[in-house]
Amino acid sequence: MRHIPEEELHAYLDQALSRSQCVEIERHLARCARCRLDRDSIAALRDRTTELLARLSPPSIIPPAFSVLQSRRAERLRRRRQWVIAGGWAASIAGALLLGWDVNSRYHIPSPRRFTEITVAPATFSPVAPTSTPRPVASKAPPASARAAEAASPGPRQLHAATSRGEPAVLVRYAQAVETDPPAAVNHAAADSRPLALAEADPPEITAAPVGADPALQGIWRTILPDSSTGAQGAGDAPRVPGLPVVTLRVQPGDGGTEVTAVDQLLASGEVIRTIAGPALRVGSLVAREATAQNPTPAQTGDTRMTVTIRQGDQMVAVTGPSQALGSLLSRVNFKRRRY
Amino acid sequence: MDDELEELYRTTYPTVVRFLYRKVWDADRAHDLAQEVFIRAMSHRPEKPRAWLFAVAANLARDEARAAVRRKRHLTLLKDDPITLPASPPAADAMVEEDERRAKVDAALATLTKRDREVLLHWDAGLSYPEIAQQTGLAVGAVGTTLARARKRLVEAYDKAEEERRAAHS
Repeated sequence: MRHIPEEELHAYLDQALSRSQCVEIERHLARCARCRLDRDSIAALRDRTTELLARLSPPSIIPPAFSVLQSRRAERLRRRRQWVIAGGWAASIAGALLLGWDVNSRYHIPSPRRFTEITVAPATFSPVAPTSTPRPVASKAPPASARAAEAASPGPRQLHAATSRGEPAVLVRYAQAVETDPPAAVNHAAADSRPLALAEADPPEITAAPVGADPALQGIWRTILPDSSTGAQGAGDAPRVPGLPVVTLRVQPGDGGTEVTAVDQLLASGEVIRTIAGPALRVGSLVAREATAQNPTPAQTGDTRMTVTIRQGDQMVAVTGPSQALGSLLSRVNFKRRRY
Repeated sequence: MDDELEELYRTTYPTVVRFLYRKVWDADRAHDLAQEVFIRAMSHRPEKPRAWLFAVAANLARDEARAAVRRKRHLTLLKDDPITLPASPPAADAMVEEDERRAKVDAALATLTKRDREVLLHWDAGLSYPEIAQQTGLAVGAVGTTLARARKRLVEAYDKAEEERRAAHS
């Protein structure tokens, strides 16, 4: 005769069996004393377990009203909605900023007008009689790539690379910085017969010369703080590199209202880029004096700074800064020249 | 639906609190977690609300235990600090005895394997065999076997500790 397994008696007492299983077990129990004893001992064990576990209950359990829970949930939902609204606003602003940044980085082409802000002398300069512009440094024969750049430039625009000490290594480095495009692009630019808008009237002349330090600002200069520069008469529109913060603005008054302005601006790298603008003779002499008199060999100074002079008629703008930054600036000039 | 849940709340809340209390060993915390379980049930509208309540309660208790472990680690770092514990207030003998009995059951429960303990506590919370199987991942047929073993071990462990205490006192 088969006796009822222990676990089945547990399940039976826990009412976890089907009706037919219960009937079968009860039929067996009615005629099996041993299984009845087992059932009783398991029932006692079960009751004992319940009694022991009951000691592990918290002292008293009084449930709060259900409405308390409902109001807590409503408050939580209200707060969550506020967070969703606030998060939605934040996400919209972030999305708009990202979209703007993306569109700008994809489609923004630096405007050629930005370059003209550097190349063309401001209207505040009163014209003076054209004078023979002293070339700041002796011009050397440009390397092949520089000659290609000259060929690519439309109109009478000229591009010269020169160094005060005539270091061939510097010439090569500069030439690479100015013209880094493949010949195919140059040929394409040469085939483009559209005239450069800037070159139509009075094409500026660009000259680049590596120097060891900033051009010395000799003479008497009036320093204007950046904050007050916007309100300063005749100085607020001094030529400068657009988009860079102005550190110092200096003005040297000249004869007949022809003043020379020197604007120091801070690059993202922390270095200073200086733009000197004014009558070509005075600007050129400032640059030449620095390049010839005060500059030792490029190797001694680390050869990190370079001056680019841009001349248009009797006006000249000289930009002095780290050679790398000016190199990329000139690359942009070349890039623009091919586009237009 | 809220009426059904309210009825379930009325009948099940004490059981859920008890179930949680045996896991977190803090009456206030057990009440808080139990109310959290029912608030969540209002949003989720579970199909099998009773089984769902205990599943969520078990999860909350597990998170609570993890947090307690983290707190304990933090306290371990501070244990070198001299802490002057306040002198315990003179408790009634009955309270002391109650605490002792509770501690003994707790110690007996701790001798069980994790699975046996889970099955036993779920059963004591009023879950059916299929519900216990669902909560613990056991086959329904294995619940009876596990429960039989767990009950036996709990009582044996408790009785053994009681005998040792008597032997120590005599």
